[in-house]
Amino acid sequence: MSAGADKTKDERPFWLAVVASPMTMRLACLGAIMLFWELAPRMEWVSPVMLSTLSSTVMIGFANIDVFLANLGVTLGSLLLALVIALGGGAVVGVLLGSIHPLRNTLLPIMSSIYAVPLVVIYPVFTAWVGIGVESKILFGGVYGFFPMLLATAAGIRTVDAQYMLAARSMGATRIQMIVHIMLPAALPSVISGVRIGGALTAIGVIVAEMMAATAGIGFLITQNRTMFNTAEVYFGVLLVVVLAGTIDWLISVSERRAADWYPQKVKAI
Amino acid sequence: MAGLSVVETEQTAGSAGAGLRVENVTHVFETGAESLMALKGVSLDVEAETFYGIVGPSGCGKSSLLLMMAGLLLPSEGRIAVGDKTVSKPLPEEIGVVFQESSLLPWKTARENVEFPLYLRGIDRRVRERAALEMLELVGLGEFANHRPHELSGGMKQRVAIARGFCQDPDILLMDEPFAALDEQTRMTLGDELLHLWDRNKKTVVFVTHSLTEAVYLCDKVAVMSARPGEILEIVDIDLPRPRTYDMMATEKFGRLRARIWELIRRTQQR
Amino acid sequence: MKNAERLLAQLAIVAAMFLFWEMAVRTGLANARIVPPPSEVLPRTIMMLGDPVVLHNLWITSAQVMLAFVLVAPIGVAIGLLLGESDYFGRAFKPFFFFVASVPKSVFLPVFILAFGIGFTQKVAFGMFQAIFVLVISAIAAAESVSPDYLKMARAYGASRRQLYIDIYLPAMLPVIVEGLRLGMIFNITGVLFAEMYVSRAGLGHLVSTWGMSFQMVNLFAGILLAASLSIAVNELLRWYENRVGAWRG
Repeated sequence: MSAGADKTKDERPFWLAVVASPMTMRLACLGAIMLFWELAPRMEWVSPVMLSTLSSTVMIGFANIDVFLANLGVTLGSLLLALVIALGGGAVVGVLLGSIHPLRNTLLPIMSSIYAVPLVVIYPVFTAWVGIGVESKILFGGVYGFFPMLLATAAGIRTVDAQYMLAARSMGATRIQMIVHIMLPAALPSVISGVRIGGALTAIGVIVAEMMAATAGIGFLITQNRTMFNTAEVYFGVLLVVVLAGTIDWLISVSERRAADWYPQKVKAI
Repeated sequence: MAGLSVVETEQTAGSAGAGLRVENVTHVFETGAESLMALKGVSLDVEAETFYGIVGPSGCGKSSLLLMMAGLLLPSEGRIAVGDKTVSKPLPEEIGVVFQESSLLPWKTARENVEFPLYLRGIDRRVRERAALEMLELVGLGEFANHRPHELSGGMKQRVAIARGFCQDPDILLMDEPFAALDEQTRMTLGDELLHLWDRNKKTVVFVTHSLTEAVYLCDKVAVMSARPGEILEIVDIDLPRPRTYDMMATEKFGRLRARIWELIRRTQQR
Repeated sequence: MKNAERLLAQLAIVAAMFLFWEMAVRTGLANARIVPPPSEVLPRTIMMLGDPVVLHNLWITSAQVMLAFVLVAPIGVAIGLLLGESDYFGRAFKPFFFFVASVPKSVFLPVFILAFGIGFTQKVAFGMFQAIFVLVISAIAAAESVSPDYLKMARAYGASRRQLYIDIYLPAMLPVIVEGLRLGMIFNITGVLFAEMYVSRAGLGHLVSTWGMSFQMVNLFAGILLAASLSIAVNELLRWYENRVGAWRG
């Protein structure tokens, strides 16, 4: 740290540079995890009840793939309806709270405090009210994703450049026109990140609901198999959710980056 | 200037009034397979207590040159020296730097920012506090000593950054486009204040700037650099009398000097 | 609006919500059998604070939450700082943490039961697992938020390595790290409560779940209110600290 010369000419041979690259390191770790997953139960380093081998997990999973897909379908159907509640409701209330001055100063802090409440504890209320069918998990997922969507939308609306608003007003824009043409587009990057976080939380809400009390769905299936000690099915279900959620999140993040490209102020911030 | 003299006693004897020599400095950026020559054979002799300007087109390596003078970057070839000491790492007792206002630490108050270089050297709290307060008074921010940067305007922040450089009290003060982020009126005022400080407290100043008017108005000599790879095209003597006043800007001589520098830069940009 | 005024307005809004809730039940708008009025729920919440059974379970939950937090905070922050500061480790492992942070981690709970059984250890481990990703990611953000301008300046003024850590890195990163700790705490509490509600023999989550299944609505609402107010209190405390160390952010 004494002198500041940053001469980073790479003098290493090519093969060493490849072996020592971060990418290789990452792949090596991934390989090690998969190897451990396969060997640990096989060699009985851990009990096969705790962990099933990678190969048997995948094989048993694909042998029952129709059951998994049917339950995944139930989950995705509930998720879709829950997303309408969470994202639609969150966006509407977010625009309201973000654009009306006295409301946002008093209500927003309350909303972000509610964000801190572990919402899992209210799930029993939903089952007591509407039973353990699809309604309760749709409602619960909807509530779970509602607040982050609301906060992100309100924050996006709040940060809209006052210059844009002034310019639009000088051109005689009505309140509705201001919302549609100025506030929403300018708030879009923030709204998209709200969709991403709110969407993820809605999915968590639906799956958590299914795990605690439900009659169908991937969360239900995983829990059912756990109570029967079908270890391989449990791991396959978890793997399925992780891969699916990871893919969806990746797709959203790609579109988010696209959106950032359209928005010069966002690019500058990076 | 009592605060400053307290600090001066901490300084190594015999280093007073040092100049700075840049000897045939070349700088090459290595980025993977490519290498980019930023500076080529630059030599400067900055005499003690002169106000020395460096101007040049964007990307000519003047900021790299300044970083090397500050000991934050090593030249690929050549050397930079203060007296008989080679600058190969920061020498806070001899060389100070005034950065742009964005380098003020936002979690410290104006006073804490100004005394930061003294704090780093382990100087007694009361001594450094007094020195910092006096320095802030000198730049007209006495009553803002306990404000944090986000509570100050751009011009005020830059004054704090200048006060910090002077509070460190080195013989040589390097300034990397200190006024770049400010509007023209503020720049002019700050330029005057800087000359005033320098008058009362003679130091060797190396001043990198984009503004030709600023360079002519402030400096004794202006080194004009070429586009990349940066070379010294000419060292223009600014033989205007001191103290400098605004009406000098309207003189024919001022205009001629400014036009001469512009001519050099314009030609190297077209190349 | 002044802060005190705003706080007053907020209290008024919360009071109005409780009042509306009470009136809805009184007027028969809501069925009192499934929506108990606050006039019954609030006293029950207070009573719970003197109930040895509730207190015992509350203590178990708090112990799990605190132990998980104390264990996971240094680990998560250390990993995050390593990934944020080291180019090599950052490029190797950041994608992994960003990926896992984006998937629903609750679905891993059955795996923790298979691995640790049901009990204290499993709850603590699951709380840690829920919290670690947000801790790592905010510590990465904290490390990356340190402006190179500050470092250049401090080095030019001759700062030693130690001074750089104490006087530049630490104050610059602290607000972001504390924010991460706050978010990690929320996830941690949620994780422990969820684990208790899922399968457990003790804890506040276990109580709430039992009350729900046996339709003890007043107890259920009182328990929810208790869990909610405790979490809000912890969150506000950490947020207060976050604002204090980050006041300079303006």
